[in-house]
Order: sequence, then structure tokens, then C-alpha cells
Amino acid sequence: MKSRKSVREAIAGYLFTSPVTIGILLFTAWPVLQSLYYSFTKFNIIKSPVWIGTDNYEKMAHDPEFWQSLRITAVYTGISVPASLLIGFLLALLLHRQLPGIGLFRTIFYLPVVVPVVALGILWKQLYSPTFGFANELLKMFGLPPYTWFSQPESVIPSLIIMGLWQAGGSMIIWLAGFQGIPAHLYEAAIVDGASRFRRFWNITIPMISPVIFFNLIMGFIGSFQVFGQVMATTAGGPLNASNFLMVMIYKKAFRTLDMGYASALGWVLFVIVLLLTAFIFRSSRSWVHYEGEVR
Amino acid sequence: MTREEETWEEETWEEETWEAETREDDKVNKTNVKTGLAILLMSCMIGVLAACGGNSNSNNLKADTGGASGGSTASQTASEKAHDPVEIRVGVPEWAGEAENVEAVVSVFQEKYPYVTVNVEKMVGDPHAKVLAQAAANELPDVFWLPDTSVREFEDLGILAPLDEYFAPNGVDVNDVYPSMLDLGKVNNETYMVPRDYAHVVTLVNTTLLKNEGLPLPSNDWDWETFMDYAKKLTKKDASGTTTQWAVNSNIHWWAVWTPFALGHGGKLLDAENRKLTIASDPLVGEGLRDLWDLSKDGYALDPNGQYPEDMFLAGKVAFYFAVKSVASQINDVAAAKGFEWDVVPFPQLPAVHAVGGGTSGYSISSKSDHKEEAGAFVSMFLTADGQKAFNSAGNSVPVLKSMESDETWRNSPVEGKNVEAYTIAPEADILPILSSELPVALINEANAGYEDAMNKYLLGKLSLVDALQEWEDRINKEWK
Repeated sequence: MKSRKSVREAIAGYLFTSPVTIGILLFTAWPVLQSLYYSFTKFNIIKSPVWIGTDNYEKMAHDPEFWQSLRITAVYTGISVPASLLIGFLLALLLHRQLPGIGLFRTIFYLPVVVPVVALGILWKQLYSPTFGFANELLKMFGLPPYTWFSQPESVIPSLIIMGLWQAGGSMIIWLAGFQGIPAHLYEAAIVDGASRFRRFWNITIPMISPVIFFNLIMGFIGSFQVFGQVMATTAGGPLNASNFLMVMIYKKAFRTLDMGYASALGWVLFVIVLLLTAFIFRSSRSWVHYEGEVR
Repeated sequence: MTREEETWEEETWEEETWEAETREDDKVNKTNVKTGLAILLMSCMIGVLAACGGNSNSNNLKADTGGASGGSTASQTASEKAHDPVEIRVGVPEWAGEAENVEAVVSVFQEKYPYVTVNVEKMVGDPHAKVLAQAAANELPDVFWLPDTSVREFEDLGILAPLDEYFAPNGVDVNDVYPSMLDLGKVNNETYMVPRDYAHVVTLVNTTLLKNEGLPLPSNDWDWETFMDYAKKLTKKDASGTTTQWAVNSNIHWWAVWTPFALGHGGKLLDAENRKLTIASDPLVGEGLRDLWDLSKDGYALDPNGQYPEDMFLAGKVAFYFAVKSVASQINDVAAAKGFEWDVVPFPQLPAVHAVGGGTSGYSISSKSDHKEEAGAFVSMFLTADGQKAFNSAGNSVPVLKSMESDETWRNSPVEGKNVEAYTIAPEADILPILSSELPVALINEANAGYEDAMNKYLLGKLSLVDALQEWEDRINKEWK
């Protein structure tokens, strides 16, 4: 009897979730599998793919452009993720206060996150303009020489990192939510015990928001390994390929030189890198992420 | 009775009671499930039909035409035959004015072919990627826009249908078309793209800046030496040496500008017979490119890495602009709003060879079109006087027909009194995009990327001119076998 009803409920459940399930299978899972197949082929979108085994992966291993892209992406990730987390964290600490108009400040700091990527690109290109940009005007006000920003290969990555930090409001909101989830009685008990401000921060705030650090770290790594829109809207990979991130390289190989097989192989390598990094962070999280009520 | 059996009996009883109580609810649930299933099935069917739809309208229409389609070379034109209605799709780039210009051609076309409905679609985003994606999905419009530099690539991919057979039946006199423009649409002597206009590179001039320096409008036969005299007088720098007013926006990335410079001292870009680029081996190429690149390096021309906040010619801060007529009406509007005057002179004659970039873009037919005859009639319209008058009604282009050189419709637009001779002067100096025309298709993108890298490395001081060109040459020659 129970099973008949359960089956009926299960069918109804499957039916109601089927549009999403079918959508994911058809429009995500299938293309993902197709791209895996294409990564072993020579394929230009129009003509049928030709199986070439692991040639694309072997070519990648000897392709200086790939290694340069990987290095650029890793450097960007290595600097921008911690910097963005730190700035978001400090902003959240500042804004986690009950002050008049605090909501307005939170909104202002979050606003850059909702700016469309192309508008963001145009804005920052103007700010960074060597001749007319506000950035160099600002440096001049402090008696500093003008900087080359997007104009020189050496300065393009730092410029993109600064541009990315402008959107630290995204992680700030999550930090704020984390802070607000910390029970006040923990701080009260610590104060009664005579804990200093730093001890309260180090022994209560940090452990209690470690799941938020974990979440922001994972999302930050995934996001910065896939940085694309803001690069295409500003430097398009230049100058001299100095901002040719992996995603930009994949796009160019796929849609500019029509080497869809090689682009697919690059995509899969990027996926494996992100997967390994995520797995590493997950594994290490056991030793530093604390969940409230968790018994070890 | 064991504890398990008791529990089972208890659960069974509870369930029977619950079932009795909810029998009515079950009926409703069953009905809901059936309804849900039906809706899902219908949605799937609609989805499948929509997905398979694509060209299905066209397919049905083709069946109705009684086999009239398919590139017949019959002596009767498409308009003279009895036809059921036919619908064709035309893909146009999304930039301002193009769709309106093509709609004007559609109006003229439909007077002649009333049974053909033409649906003009904007190709949103990068048109090159859009064409490839649509071709891969078998969704390419019957007629679509493409630049001259994509013709060989698309032909090689089998996307394009040959067009020559449609010209004569549709009243096209190919001898009246500027040969350089017609050649831009050809591969192995067959036409795959009709040029929609005659895009001969000219020098647009901010005459207000010239007047400020007491300089007259240059003559139509001005040369490189005169250009440099003007450039030195028109460039203004501040105390730190930063340029604040430029002599020229050289359009340094565009093949139609840099290729003439590369040839301007008598150099040769490649040796097709021996399959070699000669960009570095022939020092005259370097001399020509140095003329162009040094304009930026010395601050006379806009810096390609300068990130200017707006178009500096439109901002009134640049005296000359190497461009084509397509920007004329925009410049006319902006100049009126900002209070400067403009005019046009030819591209300056370079030291040894008078070479002028003659690029264009145009329209092709998809090789998969089910209505090639109608599509062929439509693209042919661009090579007729009526079609050209319609396409040029907005004043943004020069007719591609030699017989219309003195036609007032384009000469007086967007405004009368300009030195419009410049747009058509010295057509014999027109040069084709040599790299896109003569290199193997697989190397075209690499060669263009090679130019960008060489130029940037030279301008950013990473390599000397000779080394930058050598790197570019080696990059192609190791692949060109």
C-alpha cells in the first residue's frame, strides 16, 4: 500500500522536476560530454570532427601560449582572490555596526557588483586612460608619475586586479551575513571572562565565520580562474597577450581561429585544474572550517 | 507477534485509514498527474517542433515553388515565373543604419518580386562568430552580411554559394562594378560575395583645425611629404611631451591602411610562388610600415594602446582620419553639434607606389539556402542602379557601380559641397587585402595576429622594427609549406 502511494508520489515528483532535469541533461550534460569528445578531435564547427586522439593535449603541453595563459591566470588568481577576500572582510567589519544610515553605505559598497560587465569595462578603460584618465590625475595630485595601466604588458594584470577589487562588495555581503549569524552570547561570555577585543575576534569571530571563508575562497578561485567578461571588455587579452587568460584563450581558439577541438581540450584542462584546487580546499577545510554544533 | 510485525500492522492500519480518508484527494492527484503529464508531453512536442522548425517554413515554401529554386540558370528571371509565396531571411550586422539601408533595398526588390517576403534579421554580437554558429546549427539566413576578409574562410568551410549565375538574369552588368570591389568577393575567379558599396580609403579632415594653423585643405594629389608637413604643424603637445592634439587617427589596425603603407616604398609582402612572407626579407616593407607606425610612436597619430575616452576625431582633437564614407554622416552630425567643419581628401600618395586600401563588405548566399534563386535575385539587386540608390539613400556609402560616379544622390549626401571626388579618385590604385587573398586560409588569422604583435612590440619598445618583422615573417613561413 505504502509503496503504491510512494511510487505515485515519486512519479509526480519526477514529472514536476522533469523540465529542469531534461533541460540540464540536454543543454548542459550533453554539451559537456560532447566537448570532451571534441577535445580528441580536429573540429571547426562546420565540418565533421576528425578523431586525432590526444594530439590536442600533446600540442597544449608544448604550446607556449597555453603556459603563458596558465601563468597569467594563476598569478591573477593568487593575488586577486586573497586580496578580494581581505577587502570584502574589512568592509564587512566596518559595515557590521549599528550606525545611522549603515544600510545606505552597504548599498553603495554593493553597487559595483550589479554594474554590467561591459559598462564596467568602459568605465575602467576611461579611468585608466593614460592621457585623460582619472587614475593618473589622482597619482599626479600626490606627486606621483603617471602609470601605464592597460597600455603596457607589465602593468595590465595589476590594473585588472585593482579593477576586480572594486567589486569586493560581492563577498562583503556574504561576510556580513556570516557576522550576523554569530550568536551574541558567545561574545558576552568572552567579555565576562575578560577576553580582549583581539581574543574575541581570533577565538570567536574567525572560527564562527570559517564556513564563510571556505565558501568565499571556493567561489573566488572558481570565479577568477574563469575570468573573461571584464578582460574582453577592456584589454581583449592584450597588450601583447599579457592578459590572455585561459578563458580568453579558449574563446579565441574556438571562435576566432575555429579550433574548437583544441579549445575543448583547453576547457577540460581548466576544468581539471579548478576541480583539483577545489578538492584540495575541501580536503584542507576539515582542519580549519568549524561548524556550529559540530562534534569532532 | 514480534515488534517488527506489530509495527508493520500499525503502519498498514494507519495507511489504510489514511487511504480511505484521502481517496478523494488521490483522484485529484491522479488527475493532476495526468494533466501534468499531458502538459509536459505537449511542451516537449512544441519544443521538438520548434527546434526542428528553423528552416522548415522555407522548406515547405520551396516545395510549393514547384522546383523553381535551386540555382537554375533558366533564361526567365525569377520575377517572370509564376510563383507561390516565398520567404527569405537576410542577416545584417546590428550597427546603426545597416538594417535601414537593407530595408530600403528590400522595398525596391519587392516591387520586382512581390511574391518574395524578405525578413531582415539583425546579427547580434560578433557577426563572424554569429555566422559560424548559425551555419553549424543549420540556421544561417538565406542571405547574410560578411566582410571581404571572411570570404575565403567561409568559402573554404562550404558556407557560401557561388553567385555568378544570378547576375545576368537579374540585370547585373559586372563590367560596371569597380573591379577591385568585385574581386574582394571572389575565390578562384568565382563570386561568393556581392560588394554593397565602394569603400575606397580616404582622409577625412577637421578643416577647423587646419584653419587654426592657417593651412588650406590639401589638394587631391597630395603626397606623403605634404602629409608629414601638415602632421608636424597640426600635432600639439603639452609641457611633458604628451600629445593633446593629434595630426591623424591612422586606423593602424586596419589592413586597408597598413597594407598600402607596407607597399608604399615599393616593398613586396609575400612571394606566393615560393610560399614565403617577405615582410622582413624585403627591407622596403619595413620602411613603409615604419612610416605608419612612427606616426603613433612620435605622437602624431593616436596610440593604439591609448585607451581614449571617446573617438578623438569626433571630439575635435584629431585633424585627419583614414576612413571610408560609412562614417561621413556621423561625422557630419557630430561636427555640427560640436562646432567644427569637416571635408574629405584622398589618401596621400605614398613615396614610391600609389596604393590605396579598397576594402568593402557585402552579402552572400548560404550554400544551404532552399531559395537560392530568390536569394540570388536579392543579392544581385545590390549591383543594380536601383538597389545602389536605395542602399545609399542614407548617404553613408559610395555606389559600387562606375556609372553612378557622378550620381547626385550620393554626392550630395550627407551634405552638399564636400570634396567628394576623393571617394572615387584613382581606383587603379586600389589594392586587395593581400594576406587574406593569397595566404592559405588556415594562416590568415595567424598572419593578422602577427601584424598586431609586430606592431605592438615595436611601439611598446619590446623589439626593434627589424626583429619585430622577422618574428612575424618566421611565424608564418614555418607553417606555409
